Amino acid sequence: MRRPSLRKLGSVAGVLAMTAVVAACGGGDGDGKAGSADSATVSFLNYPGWIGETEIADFQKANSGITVKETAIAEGGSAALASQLAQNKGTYDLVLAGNVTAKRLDQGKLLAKFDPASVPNLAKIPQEYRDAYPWGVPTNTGKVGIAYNKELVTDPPKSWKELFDRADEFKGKIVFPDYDRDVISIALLALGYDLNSTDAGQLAEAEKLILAIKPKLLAFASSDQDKPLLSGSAAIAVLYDYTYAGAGSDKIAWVSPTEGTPGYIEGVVPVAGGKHGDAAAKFLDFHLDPVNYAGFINTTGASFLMKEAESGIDEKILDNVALKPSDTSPFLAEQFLDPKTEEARNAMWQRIKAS
Amino acid sequence: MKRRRPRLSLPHVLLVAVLVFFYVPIGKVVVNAFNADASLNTWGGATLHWFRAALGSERVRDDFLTSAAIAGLSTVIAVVLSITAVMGAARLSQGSRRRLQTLTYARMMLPEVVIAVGLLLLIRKLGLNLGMWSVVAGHVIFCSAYATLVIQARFATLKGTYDEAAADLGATPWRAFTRVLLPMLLPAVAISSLLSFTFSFDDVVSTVFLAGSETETLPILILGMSRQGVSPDVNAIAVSFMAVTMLALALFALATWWRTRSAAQGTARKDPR
Amino acid sequence: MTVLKTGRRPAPSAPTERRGGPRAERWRARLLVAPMSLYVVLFFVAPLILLLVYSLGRIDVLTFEVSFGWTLDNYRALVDGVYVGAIVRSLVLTVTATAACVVIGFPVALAISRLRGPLRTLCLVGVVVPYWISFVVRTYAWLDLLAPNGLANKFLTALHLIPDGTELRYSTFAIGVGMVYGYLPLMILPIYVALERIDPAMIEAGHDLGLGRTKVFWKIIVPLAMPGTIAGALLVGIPATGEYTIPAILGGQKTLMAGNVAADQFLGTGNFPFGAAIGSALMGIMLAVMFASRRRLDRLEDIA
Repeated sequence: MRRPSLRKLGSVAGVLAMTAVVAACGGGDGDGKAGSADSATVSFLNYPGWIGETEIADFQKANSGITVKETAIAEGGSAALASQLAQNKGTYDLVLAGNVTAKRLDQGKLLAKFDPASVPNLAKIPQEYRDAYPWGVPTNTGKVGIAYNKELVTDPPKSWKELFDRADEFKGKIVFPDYDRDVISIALLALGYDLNSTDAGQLAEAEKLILAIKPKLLAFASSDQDKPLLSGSAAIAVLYDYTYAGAGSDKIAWVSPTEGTPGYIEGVVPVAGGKHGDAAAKFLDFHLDPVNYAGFINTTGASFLMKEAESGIDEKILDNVALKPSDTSPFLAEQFLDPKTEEARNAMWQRIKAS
Repeated sequence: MKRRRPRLSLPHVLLVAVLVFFYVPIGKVVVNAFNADASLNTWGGATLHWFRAALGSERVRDDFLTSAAIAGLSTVIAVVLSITAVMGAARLSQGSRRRLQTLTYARMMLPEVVIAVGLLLLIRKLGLNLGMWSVVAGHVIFCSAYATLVIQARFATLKGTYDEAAADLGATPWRAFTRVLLPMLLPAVAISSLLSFTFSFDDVVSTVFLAGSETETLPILILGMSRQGVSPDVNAIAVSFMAVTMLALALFALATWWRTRSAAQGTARKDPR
Repeated sequence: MTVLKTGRRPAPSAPTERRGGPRAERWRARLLVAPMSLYVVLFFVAPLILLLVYSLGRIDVLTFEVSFGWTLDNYRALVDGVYVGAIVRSLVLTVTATAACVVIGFPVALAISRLRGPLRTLCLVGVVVPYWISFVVRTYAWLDLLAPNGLANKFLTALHLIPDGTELRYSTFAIGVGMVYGYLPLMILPIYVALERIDPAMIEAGHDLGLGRTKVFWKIIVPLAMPGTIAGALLVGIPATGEYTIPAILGGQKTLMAGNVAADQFLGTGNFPFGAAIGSALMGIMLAVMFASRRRLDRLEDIA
């Protein structure tokens, strides 16, 4: 009496499985085409969407025979990325990496030697960034500052120290990012120390400071830190510059704290064992062509590094207070420290989370 | 069989409440997918832009097919392994049965990331290349655990019956299996297939570690995109492929219903339904 | 199938022996179990042993080269209050979420099993469909719903359960909602499968004996559906212990769960040996629980 409905379910499941198998065979054919002699496929490990909207299509049009295949970085952790590269040696050509991750990858011998001469357009990037990011082409920076809801806050903190000192005023309405390095950096800055401190005593003080503010936080948010701010459930958020710019709302405002804005330099680096070095270099050069670079910045809304590209960049981005370099608040690059300190900082972060 | 009419009772009210509970977030996702405000902070009017972008992207379509293929293969392997294991285990000594049981629970208990990394290290030690196969291998580990548990629960309720029925009929084991046991296991097989397919289709943790450079699945793409904020395009991709999956299922359900109906009309109808 | 046979309880243990004798029977059983065993040994046990070995060593977080110092440091670090707290928190949350799932899931499964025809199929599929939308996207949707101006919040305010504008996100409550949302279908389905098997005649018989509806439910339906309920509790409870995405998104990362610790070792810091140690510890706890309850589990199988 119940058979028909059950049979229905069963066959549905069966057929589902069968379609999948058919799809699998189709997929298999697609995979087989890689690696023919006169064409190169540059494999690029990147955040989805972290590239100009038509950039890859344009590049392929301009360079017949070269295909750029993007694979998504899904987990932000640098260990996941490093292990992905370590396990798949020889299959990736390029990877998007912040300076901290890049150094880590380099020390793990996972990066190929980068030849600046192979990317002529690199000259358009200021020398200081090239020096700070020697592993490949630096493309943009990212930093954290203080953003606040204008309705809820009339007198925003002007420095990291003030943020920690006045936390009681905004109790339960503060959002921090869920990234250990940035949170530890701002605590160290608030205490008047170097953000790349390796001193155990200073780190212990920073830990105390973060532990003290933790009960007053709404959350450590891993993305969308701007949303609670916009809806008014948070008054203050430690935001990334591109998140602030992306929100594009006049309900919130940005403060570059006086101690400086900690952040990272991001870029694209060649991977050890990559088989298409020349094609990859061609793509990197294309990426840094001012027109394409402007497209990349317009899509991502990141802090840009190239003066020549300004004419192509949206005014909204050019004029954004968070993306513009600040005269009063220097950009402070976070560094990959020695493994011992890294381990200590990690343990400290877990203690903070667990408390 | 119309003796017990379903009455409106607490369970029915709860059923409706739970379905609402299940679908309100989905509704939210669907609404987000149409929102013209890219930051999703306000309602910016309805647009189809995100759907056009999602379905127009070759990368998204490829990833969907890859996900479907991996989920399909994992399901078939997991379910077949589970059926045979459950049937065999019923006839083993209690000790070996308990060992098998422990392994089943262990596969669900350990955080997936632990299993995935273990498998990754092993594959690396053996010097094999990662690819679709390693993702399937990883998914089958947990899919088969779920499938085993569901099928076993069903099998447990008919163990004795099956033996007796088969003995009564004097059937060979194979016939007993296909004619008696399998049809009776069907609901459990269907549900475990459904679960396996769904879990594998939506998995990220194992896939992150076990997919090589050639294999990108839809959830990996979605997770990567959502790292910069959950924007309408992510919602649109999710909604589109839920719709595709549902449509496929609905079509097959319809086709099967059609077949059973025409088959039923051909024979004398013994059952009221 | 006759009603009588379905209803009769088979003799406990000692499977019926058929032609071919017990030895052939055992061989057939082993052959049936072989593919799964082989698979599990190759793809699960072997990697775990490898990990266990790793958990006794130290890894170079840069090159992923492991040096085997045969150290117990990783386990010593585990006894640190921080991680014990995380494991206890995970267990408490798991037990609560599982209990909530049983309380909600059982009546729902019962309601579905009482439906007939297409409506029942629809409800069953309806329980699974939410899973087809990306888990990450779904969980983020809850973040919106639980916001002070969100739908869930308004609903609870209308019921006078919470004051207007309460912040429900980033709390243990939010994690709980997320867990129940994520795992409830896993409770409903196995219970349904078990209930579906119950012969209506059993319930008829109960009524004929003059048992009230409540008594029929507790004395007949609940015991007969026990294998399904146990399966559901395992399906929910076991993986929930290692869950880390839901606490990460809905909990605002303010509390540390065992799953988060393990995931962080593998994804973020690259300390595989320590991650492996956490994994081994979780496994140890599970084995202990199973060993303690093995009597009950065995009995269940026999009753079933």
